[in-house]
Amino acid sequence: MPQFMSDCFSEGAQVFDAQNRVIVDQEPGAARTMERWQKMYRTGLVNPEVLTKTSSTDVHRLFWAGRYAYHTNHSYYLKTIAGEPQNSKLAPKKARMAMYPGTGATYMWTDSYVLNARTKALEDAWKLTRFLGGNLNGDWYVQRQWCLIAGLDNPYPEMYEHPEIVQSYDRWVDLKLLRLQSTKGKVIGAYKEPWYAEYDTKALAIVHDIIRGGVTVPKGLKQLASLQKSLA
Amino acid sequence: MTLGVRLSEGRFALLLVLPALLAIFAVVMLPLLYSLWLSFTDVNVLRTSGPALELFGVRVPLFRWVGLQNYVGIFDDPLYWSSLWRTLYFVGAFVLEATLVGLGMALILNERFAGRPLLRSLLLIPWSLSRVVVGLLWIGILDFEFGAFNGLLYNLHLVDGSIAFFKDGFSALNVLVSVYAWNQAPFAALLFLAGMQSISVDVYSAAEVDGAGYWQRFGYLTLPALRPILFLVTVLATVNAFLMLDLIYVLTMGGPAHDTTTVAWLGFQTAFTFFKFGPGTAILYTLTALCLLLTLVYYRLILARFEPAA
Repeated sequence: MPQFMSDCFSEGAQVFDAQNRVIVDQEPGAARTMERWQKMYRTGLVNPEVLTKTSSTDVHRLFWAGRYAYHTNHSYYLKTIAGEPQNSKLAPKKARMAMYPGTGATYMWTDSYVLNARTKALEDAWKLTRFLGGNLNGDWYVQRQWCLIAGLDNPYPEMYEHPEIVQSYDRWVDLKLLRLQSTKGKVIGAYKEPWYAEYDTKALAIVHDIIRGGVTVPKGLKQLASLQKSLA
Repeated sequence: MTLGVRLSEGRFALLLVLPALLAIFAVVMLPLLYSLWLSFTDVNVLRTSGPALELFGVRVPLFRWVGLQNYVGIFDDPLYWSSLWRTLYFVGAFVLEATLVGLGMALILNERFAGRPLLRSLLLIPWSLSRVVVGLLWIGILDFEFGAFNGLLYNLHLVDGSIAFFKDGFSALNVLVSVYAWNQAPFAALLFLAGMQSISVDVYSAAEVDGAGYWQRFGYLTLPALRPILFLVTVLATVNAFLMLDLIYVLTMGGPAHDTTTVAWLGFQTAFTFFKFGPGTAILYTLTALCLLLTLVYYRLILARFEPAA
């Protein structure tokens, strides 16, 4: 689903409207994305087992094999591929990157930390949350470690200016381009909706059916929209 | 020292088994009753809140009673029915495969040959592995890109490229059946072997004297003697197959689309991915009912008709 959203955004299509309703059935760009995916699958441009891999990480790893014309990576995998000689034959090398094609808009995914409505030690929990997900002591400690250790992208533009991070990233990634790409990331408010987890799982099966040609693109996109309506 | 209390034999026996009964009630009956209660309630922890019991510091929510609504809802869902037919196929294929392979292995290991004790020990390895490990192992063997099996076939020039075992839903489902049978057949073999070893050698000697060949001895002596074991193996295999979840989790996540989604997987997803514990437990209770029903059928088919007349 993240890949689907990225491709839709780069085609200029919206996936959700302002009220977080799924509107892919009204977006020609979403149909173009699906038609392209159908063709890729049919003509063997992707691994034929791509639909049964159990996580998006596995799917991305499949593409690393390099056998297929269609190739995509999470940007943070670049640290391993380009920056870690112990894990990659390509390293150490600065990765060549290109902006996401089309409009350049992509889906950006970041972890978020939330507090339960019944949190007992509220003050302490809030402090911990700010430490993990924000900038509690003004030193961006946790965010900085994520960047330095794992090469994760970050929702805070300040991170791309931090001297320690600039020095680290500069070894393996085109930081200027990464910074530019991060400005094209979209915030997906639907993630906060209580129906999202169920939608995400059930939508995946519909997307699989569209890719395999079990259902036509317009019909499949309509199913995606009505699935969301049924859950909201 | 005497307590000065006289108990009848029955009450004394009850007193002795009471701790065990209480433990069973606490760890078996209570969770069962609570989950049964959940299946008749509206439980979506993402949306609902309400009264709860505080038991030893654990909050046990009491949800809104909706009667049969969850059961009606799942019976109206086409996905439930497609998952059910898929489950029945999975169970049938697995029971057949695990039983036949287990029986075959037991027949071989019941014969005398050099290395038999070692082979009997090795037999248990697949069964003793965690199912997550089994899944990962078979991913390594069957993977389209890196799988050892595809590599072997390619090096033997038997295939031109690689076989995509998980591309097609039906193929993926059959892979699940076979991997699970690989894991479980050794246990069936162990039970069959124990059954075979309890048959008196004299009976076989007498049959041999009467001119019975190998297959006649198998059909007329071994198989009838193994009926209680066969019943046990089929019941265990059926229940295990109905509830199998971990291999799906590791190998296919129910996909592609819903092609390897079984009722157990659907129930698990409904309860623990969508946090709808009401419909989730209702789905899983239909499995419990099916297991009980099939156990009765097996009993009638395999055991009951061979019980000695009173």
